[in-house]
Amino acid sequence: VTRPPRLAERLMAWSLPAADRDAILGDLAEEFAGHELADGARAARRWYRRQVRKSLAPNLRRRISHPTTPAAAALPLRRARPWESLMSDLRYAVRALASAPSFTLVALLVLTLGIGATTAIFSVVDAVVLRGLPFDEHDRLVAIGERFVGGDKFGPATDPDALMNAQPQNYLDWLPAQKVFESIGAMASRTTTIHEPGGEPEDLTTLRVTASLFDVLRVRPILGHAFTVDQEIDGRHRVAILSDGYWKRRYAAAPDVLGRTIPLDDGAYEIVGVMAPEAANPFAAAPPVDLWIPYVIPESERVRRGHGIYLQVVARLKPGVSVERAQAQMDQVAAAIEQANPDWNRGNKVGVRPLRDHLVGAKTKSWMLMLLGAVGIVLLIACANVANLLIARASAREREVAVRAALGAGRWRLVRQLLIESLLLAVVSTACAIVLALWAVQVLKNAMPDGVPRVAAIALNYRVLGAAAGLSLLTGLLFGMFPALQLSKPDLTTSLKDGTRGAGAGRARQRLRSALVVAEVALAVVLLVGASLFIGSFVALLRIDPGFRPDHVLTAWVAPRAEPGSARPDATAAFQDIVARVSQTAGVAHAAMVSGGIPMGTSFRISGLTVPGRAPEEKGPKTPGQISPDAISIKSVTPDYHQTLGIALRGGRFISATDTKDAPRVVIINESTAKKYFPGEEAVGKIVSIDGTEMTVIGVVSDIHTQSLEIDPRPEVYLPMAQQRNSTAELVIRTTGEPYGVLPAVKVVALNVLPDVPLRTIRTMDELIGKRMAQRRLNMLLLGLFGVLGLVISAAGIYGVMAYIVSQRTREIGVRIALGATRSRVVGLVAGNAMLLVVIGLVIGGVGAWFLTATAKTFLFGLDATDPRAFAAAVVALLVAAFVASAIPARRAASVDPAVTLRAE
Amino acid sequence: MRPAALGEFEQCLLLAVLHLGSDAYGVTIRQEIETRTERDVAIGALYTSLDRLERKGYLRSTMSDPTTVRGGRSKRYFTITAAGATALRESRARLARMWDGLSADLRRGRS
Repeated sequence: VTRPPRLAERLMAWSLPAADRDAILGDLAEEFAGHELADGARAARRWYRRQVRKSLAPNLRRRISHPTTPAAAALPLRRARPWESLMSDLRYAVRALASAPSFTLVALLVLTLGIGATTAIFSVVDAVVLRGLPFDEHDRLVAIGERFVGGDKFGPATDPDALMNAQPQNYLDWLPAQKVFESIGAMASRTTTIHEPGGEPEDLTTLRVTASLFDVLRVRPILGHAFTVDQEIDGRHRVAILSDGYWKRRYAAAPDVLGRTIPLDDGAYEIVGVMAPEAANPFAAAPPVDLWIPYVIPESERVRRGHGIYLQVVARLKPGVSVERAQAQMDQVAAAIEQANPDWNRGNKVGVRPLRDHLVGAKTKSWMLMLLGAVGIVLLIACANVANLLIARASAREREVAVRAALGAGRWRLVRQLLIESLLLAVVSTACAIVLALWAVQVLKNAMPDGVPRVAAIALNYRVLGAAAGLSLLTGLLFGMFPALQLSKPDLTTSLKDGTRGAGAGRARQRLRSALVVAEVALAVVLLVGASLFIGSFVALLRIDPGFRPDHVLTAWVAPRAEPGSARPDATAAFQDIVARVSQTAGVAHAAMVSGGIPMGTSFRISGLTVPGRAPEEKGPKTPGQISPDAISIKSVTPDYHQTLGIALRGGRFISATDTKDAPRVVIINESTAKKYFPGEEAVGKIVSIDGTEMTVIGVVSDIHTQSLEIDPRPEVYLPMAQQRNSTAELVIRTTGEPYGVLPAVKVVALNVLPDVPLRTIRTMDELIGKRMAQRRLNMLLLGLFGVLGLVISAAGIYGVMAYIVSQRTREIGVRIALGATRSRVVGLVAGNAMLLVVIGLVIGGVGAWFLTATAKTFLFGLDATDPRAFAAAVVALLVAAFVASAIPARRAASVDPAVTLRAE
Repeated sequence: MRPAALGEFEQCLLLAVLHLGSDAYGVTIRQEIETRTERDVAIGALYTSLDRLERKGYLRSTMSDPTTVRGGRSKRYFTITAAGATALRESRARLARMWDGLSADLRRGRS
């Protein structure tokens, strides 16, 4: 039997008048049990939360206007609670803080920044990494995928446990062979196009799913019903389930939507259901899913001929079965499949991973934890700083505390009073921090790079607020404890006798403050080194020449639709037509189409290149996804492609309009290819063979960064589009003005040529590059921000301590000046004091940073985690800040007038 | 003195208590209203009105002994008072007078 949701129950209990609490919570518990029996635990909890949500306002209204029920009114009043003294402490704390507004403001500001930043980052980390998936018993959900020995097609694996998608042939063989899963489901994403008669075609993000997926995830549509197995058969598959979002967007949440039809690529689909908001997009990936349709395995993918690695397989473990046991069994299954199909499945393993780990990925996880660690350091610095401020205030309050102690306040009472003050500070700043975090979370959410899962789930929710509250208590205790313990054992006689100075306590306090400054500096060094490393990585990235001119370039994908069950048709003529017409459009300088992927795009085509007459390089095992040594990226392009992107010609000529279907086969190679196949030779005029066809090299162009700026250029060749078969291609346009300015005209042209094909994934090249750099930019901005916060807060700490030292030593300084010390010597004396603390902090922080930045290593680019420049930058920044912070107190010291000081004694 | 007019929801509550007889407490009252009027009432709002009716003297409530099914919590049982029954009757009569003389079509449309 499950319990009602605890937080909701507490909230309810709190909001109710005391006299009613028992009866109403009892009612809810009883009905909750009923709902659980009827509809399951999830539904019951949802019901309970809704009840609480709707009851809060009436409860509170009632609690305020009639604190007792009529039934309870007759009972005698309860005895006053012992927390009345707590209330008086609280009132006292408010007064104490209000009487020192500058201290209070600085402390609140520092804490607000620290807690706010931590809360914001935590809400991101929680949503992406920590929180469980929103499914019933989600711990039993696993992902199953294929693994190839030696990494995937993008090179060696960065995450050794990473799974690839599965091939339908293997998925079909897993189903009967396994005994460890309760259910297995598969899904594949796809873009479908909706063709409303008379309207512009529109793309929908569609998930093709097996009927079993609903059982695996234990989700059901809120309207209508799930798919059945007999809808997984070609011909009966034209049924669709809408996502909640699409239902609202397109059908205005009409309840009678079931039974209507949607005209999709291969016919009209009947709407049979609407998914609940939390289930419609199971993995909160971007872009959100619009539509679920049944997954039908094509006949061609039931036999092992070609390879298509695209299925995402999700399974639910049988109760009590561990991931390890499932992995062991799937190893056997995979071995049996490999034995039965030795060629097709060579080296092909199966991996089983907890679904959450699979979705999040080791790299994202460590990135998130690194951010959390960095913001945690900011919070620690903030705590150290406020502790420092509190100790400084303690000197001023010594007398007050001594008076209270003399009047009979016990030590516990004194400590409690002081702790309440710091907790009050923490609570108020947490309230401000939540407002700050509300804003920061939105900014962070929009700044998350593509590929980070569950971004949609990022929000300030109960969990995050709970964490913020816990954080606030913790920080309150952390920075309040030392000063409170210190201050609460006053030396009564000295403090009361001499108004200002308790020499002994003062020195101990001074040491504590110095230690806190050292700690602040050390922590700030770690942050600043991290910030410098990330800024350095970003700068290194910006310095890279992509090899082409990315400005003023608009790109779009054109994919004519395939007839169901057959390959996509050759659309070369249409593509050429589009290029010809777009080139004539106003505002277009050059236009071209490319099949095989644009730079910074997501798709590419790999083939093999050999030189006739030469022995081909030794071939490795030919498994899908592995690169053979003569693998080469191949693109087929229209004549103006290189001019459009601004790729330089190094020798020979560009592709021209004369390189038609009937002309001799030609190819342009990039410099890497020339270097690899024809080192020290003139490549132009040579004959190469690609896919078994011989062709003449007519030109050599410069290398460009194709996959991302961080990956070095690879061998690449360009074939004339006219001499190839092309079913989909990307349009690349160089504009004279703002790239999106030509879009409406280009859309019209494209629709004129291919009436039912919308332009897809329309982006400028600058946007594509920006996406590739999004994570680095975010890292740089966040770490830079944390570094600046750390620097400013610790500089404030240094200033505070120095100012205090100077005020304590005014007399000594006066004597020194009277005895003939020069002003520069006095400044040197004070600054020397500060610098000693800073240097100790720098050393400790430097050593710490040396070890800690190693964790950031995988996120750096173009420099080492121990790059001396980063350390130097951090040290210089801190020294400058420390100098500025101690200059003001030092100047004050130098301007001490000995006559005034000494007369005062 | 003529009792103050009852709101529609207050009438629902009193009627539910009457229907339920000796078994009228939070859960059953809520469910009675839900099944008869297809109206999902939040428990907090329910008790607000129950309290008001008790304060007006139309309902009386007693606490039961704690029961284990409810996590060891007691139930608050409600019974209708004579004043409550009068107020209910009066409300009905007032409405009936308002309906008087209206066309039969509209009356039928109601049921």
